[in-house]
Amino acid sequence: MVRSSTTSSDLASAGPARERAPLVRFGLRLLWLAPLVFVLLTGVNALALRFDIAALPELANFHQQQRKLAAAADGGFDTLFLGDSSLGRMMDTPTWERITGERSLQLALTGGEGFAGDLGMLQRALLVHRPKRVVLVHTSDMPTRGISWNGYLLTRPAGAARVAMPPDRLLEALADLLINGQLLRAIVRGLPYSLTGRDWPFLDDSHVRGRERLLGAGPAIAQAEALAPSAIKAEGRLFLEKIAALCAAEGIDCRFAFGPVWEGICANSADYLAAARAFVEGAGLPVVAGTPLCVPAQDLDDTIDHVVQGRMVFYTKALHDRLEGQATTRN
Amino acid sequence: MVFSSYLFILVFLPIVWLGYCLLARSRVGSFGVTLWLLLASLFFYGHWSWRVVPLILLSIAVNWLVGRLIEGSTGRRARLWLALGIAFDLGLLGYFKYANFLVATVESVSGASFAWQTVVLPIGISFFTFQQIAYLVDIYRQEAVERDPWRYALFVTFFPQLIAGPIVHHREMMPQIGRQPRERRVPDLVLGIVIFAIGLAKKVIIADGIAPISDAVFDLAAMGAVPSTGEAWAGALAFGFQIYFDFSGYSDMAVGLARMFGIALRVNFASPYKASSIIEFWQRWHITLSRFLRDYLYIPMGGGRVGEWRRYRNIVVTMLLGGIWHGAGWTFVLWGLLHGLLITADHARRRFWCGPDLPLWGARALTFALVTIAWVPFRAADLATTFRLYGAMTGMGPSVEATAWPFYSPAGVWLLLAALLAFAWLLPNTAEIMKPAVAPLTTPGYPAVEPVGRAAGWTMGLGFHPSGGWALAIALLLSLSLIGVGNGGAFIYYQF
Repeated sequence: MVRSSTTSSDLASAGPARERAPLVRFGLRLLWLAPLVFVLLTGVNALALRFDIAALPELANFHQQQRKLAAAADGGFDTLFLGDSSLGRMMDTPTWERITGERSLQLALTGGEGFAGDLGMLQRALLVHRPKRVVLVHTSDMPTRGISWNGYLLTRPAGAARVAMPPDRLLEALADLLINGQLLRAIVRGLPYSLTGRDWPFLDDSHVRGRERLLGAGPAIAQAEALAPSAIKAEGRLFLEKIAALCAAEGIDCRFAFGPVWEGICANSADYLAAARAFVEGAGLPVVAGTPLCVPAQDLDDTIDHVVQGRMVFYTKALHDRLEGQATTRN
Repeated sequence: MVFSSYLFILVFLPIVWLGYCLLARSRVGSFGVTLWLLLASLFFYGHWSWRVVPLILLSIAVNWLVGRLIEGSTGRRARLWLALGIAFDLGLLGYFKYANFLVATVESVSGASFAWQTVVLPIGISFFTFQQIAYLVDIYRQEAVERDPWRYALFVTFFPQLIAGPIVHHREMMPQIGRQPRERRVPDLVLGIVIFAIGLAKKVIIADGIAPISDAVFDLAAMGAVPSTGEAWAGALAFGFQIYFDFSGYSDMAVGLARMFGIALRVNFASPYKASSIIEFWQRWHITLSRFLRDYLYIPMGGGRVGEWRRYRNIVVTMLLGGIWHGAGWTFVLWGLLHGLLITADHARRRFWCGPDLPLWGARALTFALVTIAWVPFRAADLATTFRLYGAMTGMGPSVEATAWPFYSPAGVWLLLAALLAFAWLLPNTAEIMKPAVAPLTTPGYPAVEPVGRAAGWTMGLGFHPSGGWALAIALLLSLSLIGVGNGGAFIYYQF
């Protein structure tokens, strides 16, 4: 005999106490009010972006690199550097040009755009000039990050061949790029963090303090930050393969280098680094021997793959030496 | 698929609700609704990884079959089927959730190294396992029966509660499936949207917003750095608020989603930081898990009827297992042990303490502080990180604050934490807000709303009314949340 009742009193009491009509009216009101408020808020956000009251970090960086590309179009460039912030925070192009006697252009985006961003930037660069050599420089854990569809949508030039995107990823990436409300998010979270050009009392100075803490952490980081080969996401190879195919079709010498990273990673993640190298080479891009560039803690800036500004020249030379197959001595 | 994603909110949910409405109006009726919601729920689950769908289907099939066998048996035979069913469930949970942990522990103790392929934890396995164990026990106790396999499968997989609860009884949910009167469809949808919007805002705006602050401290401590005392407390408090609003938001969204389909789920989260004792905290935090642990673990062990000391032992064991249920790791063991000891101390205080009680706000502040301290191992990467942070919280850290707070200065962090504490202590919870329109489905012995006299009078003015002001407020919450969607992660409880 089943003792439970299908109409227990607590279930009955859980029913709505209100009449139907006011709720239907409320629902209808919400039906037009919610989209209206949404459009108004995104409009405010768009105006804030338009008039530089707020800035999308990835958009601002992308636009800056577009301007650099346009400026370099007339003179051309022999070597094109593509990659993430580990490249941007390491490469000193005047030093590179002095060593090689050739012109170079560095179009680093952020880690958020990934290999997909490289493809878009390479396609854009090829619209204005065909370099002799392309060097992709990424942080060591990039193969663990999968595909950045945001990076693909952000950078793909008009007319370039499309890459099939899963519908849900397309929706999320579009929404992220189109309604990425930096100003609104700052307001909602109560404290502005993305506003530019203003001295807000709550803005942080993490850039400096992060480095101090990183230096203070010492050898224990090696334990915490170790990377495992199993973390590599095979799907991420898609855009590397497309880059390799494009380089082959254009007859360009394209290579891949892992950028600077704290030396603890080099010591504790050897298996991962070997697997990451195989991952890139499997896509058809040769990996520069001797990379990643292993960096002692005192040369690091705010993260374990950003070089402090005073050492950029040294690591630019180091990358050059690796590309030429030479060892670099510390100074 | 996460509730707080564009795919769920803008595509999945509208399609499922429209299909539900069309089928409910058609001649296929209840069976069609059951099948539709079941397929939608399996899609929802499989979107995370299709490879785990056969696992949940196997679990459902075995439990339904065992349920039928228990129903058709009596005495020792029924008890045997029950034991086999529970052994199957615990075996499945044990393998997928604890095998990696056990192997790692044996390796570290013995120094040996096994050729072990890491087992991937299927999302929601802890919840659907507990729900089915409760179902088998309920059948054995003749408090439930389900002969229709499709309805049983829906009971387990119903997407609003599949991944992170509430852990519902069969008798609470299934009688409501397909029984929504036609005239209630739109009002239930509207009420569901309101509750969902409140939960979405808690998750996207507050929980995801504060997460970088706790991450900064816990991640740096995991790297071996010792934060200052202020930083360590700020990190622990920030995580306390992150998990509070994350789980509160999830629970609201689950209740709101179920309401859209005419189903009332039990209130699972009732302002736990307003609790004035640890015992009361557990009557307000994850209420359906507390009820499960009480009914299926604590009471069968003898509960409080076996003498004072054995009662305390039962409490500690129950909370220890509750901790392990949350995650396979020593940090969760420590968290469960801490709560077991705190509840025991609270019971002992009630039994033996003759002095005056703390005033309400003092007791509330003390409970909040103890819960915050206990959150440290829950969030920390390992025990070393936990003790590093405990050391820092007790003044053993450096005097200079050096954590790289993302986005905020130290003053901004403390201002934000103070605002969130005021939010948690002073504002009514969603069940209280919605009470004028929906009587909350509470659990006997677990208060979902403030007792009369403890709630501040002015908060009563925040009750929901289908007015223009409320429409504007919900439209704002929805819009702001949608703008923020995509920048946070999954719910914390999804990993359990």
